[in-house]
Amino acid sequence: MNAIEITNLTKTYPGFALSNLNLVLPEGSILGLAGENGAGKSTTLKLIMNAIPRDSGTIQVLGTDNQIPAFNAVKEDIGIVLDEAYFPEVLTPQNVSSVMQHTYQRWDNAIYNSYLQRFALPEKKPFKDFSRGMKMKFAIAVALSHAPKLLILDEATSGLDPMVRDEILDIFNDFTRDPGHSVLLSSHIISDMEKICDYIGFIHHGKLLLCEEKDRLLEEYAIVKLSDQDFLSVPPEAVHGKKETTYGVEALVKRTQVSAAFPLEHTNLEDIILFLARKEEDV
Amino acid sequence: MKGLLLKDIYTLGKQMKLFLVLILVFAVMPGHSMSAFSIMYAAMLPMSTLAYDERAKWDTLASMMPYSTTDIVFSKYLLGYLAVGCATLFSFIVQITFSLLRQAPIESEGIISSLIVAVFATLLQAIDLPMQFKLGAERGRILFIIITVAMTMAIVTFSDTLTNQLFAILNQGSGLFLMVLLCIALTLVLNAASIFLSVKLYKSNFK
Repeated sequence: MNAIEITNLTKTYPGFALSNLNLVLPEGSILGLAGENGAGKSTTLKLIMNAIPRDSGTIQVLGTDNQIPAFNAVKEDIGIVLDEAYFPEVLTPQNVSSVMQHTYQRWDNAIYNSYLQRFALPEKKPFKDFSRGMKMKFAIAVALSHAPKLLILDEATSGLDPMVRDEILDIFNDFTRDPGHSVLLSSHIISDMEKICDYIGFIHHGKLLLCEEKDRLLEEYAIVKLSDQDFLSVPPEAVHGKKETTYGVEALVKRTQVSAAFPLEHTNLEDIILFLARKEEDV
Repeated sequence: MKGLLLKDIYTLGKQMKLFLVLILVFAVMPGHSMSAFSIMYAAMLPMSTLAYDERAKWDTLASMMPYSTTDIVFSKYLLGYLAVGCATLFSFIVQITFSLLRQAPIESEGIISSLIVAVFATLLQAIDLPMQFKLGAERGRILFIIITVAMTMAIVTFSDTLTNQLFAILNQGSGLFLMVLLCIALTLVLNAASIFLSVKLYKSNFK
């Protein structure tokens, strides 16, 4: 089963359109949704949770159409972490526990308290006094304490220092050890995705430019650095983005589409995404 | 629903303590009109929670949690009803206790005036909340103040006519009873319409 299946999703705002988005998150895996600020990542997540109306398309979450009334019950199985905690800041973690007990049927206080201890979060301190890292850890503790099957994370690691980010990414990794658990992670920090994601989607100006297995992407693409003259012999269909430097041309190519005679270099996710975005801009 | 109510009660925190002190102080102060302050203050509590929610962007998170829109909206009304109910009930208890202590008959005038204020408080809440849901806490509050001032000025301007007509009704045998029934019916209808409108307006905020 797929945890999320999006088909031909469209949402239009004045000056922005998320157009014809098709996306699949297989159960048991982590999908990273990359894209610049304003690319449409948060809009996609809101549409997945049916928090805003769409123009067209269908979305199935954990096997249920997200527009039918039964989807409200499916929300019990979804843990949400947004870019901030989004609870009124005068609340304490203890208050939130009482609220969540009456919100999620499977709310588990023991698990919640174990996360509070693990993250060294004070139970009785209003979280307006928390640092950003503490607030994000607190939001993650809440999201993980009602036995979710799917985690939806919107910029959950942005603005955090590398130590905290690493700690949080480990938690998400642990979560998917259960084959029934899946994660959809939206971020513009590509290095985080490279660490933990199985699949990578890249949204640029509201269009999904790619959605593939991370390892396959890294195997599929390579970088060539050639002089202007040598670059002319590279088949144009193999080039998926290029930049001109003082030494010649640096380009992202598909390994299968170029001759083995070219000096191919390994690439990383960040380069793939930057080159693809550049190609889209050139078009 | 219980979760949402608890969230608001915890959010109000210090304000709830002040509210409890106020209903105690105003209830024991001499004069029927004093308890009106605590009842009116009670009707303002949902407004404060909406301001906290807005600042924390709570609605974005709530829309992704297993709450229905009706639950989110109705919980604000329910908070107001409970607070107004508590303040009114407390004012009754204090008035009855004082009468018993003084070994004097219980004054129905005081009980009725608290009841009328409670009805008026829920009416104000019914007018205010749809504006808050549509315009947000800050602009909604300004519009609420304008409407309250306009209503008060209208009442003051036409008070003589109103008082004469009121006495005319009250002097007719069952006039008082009918008027109370009419007020309650009007309040129920207006509150039901207000909840319906608020749900529509709240939904329209998510685009």
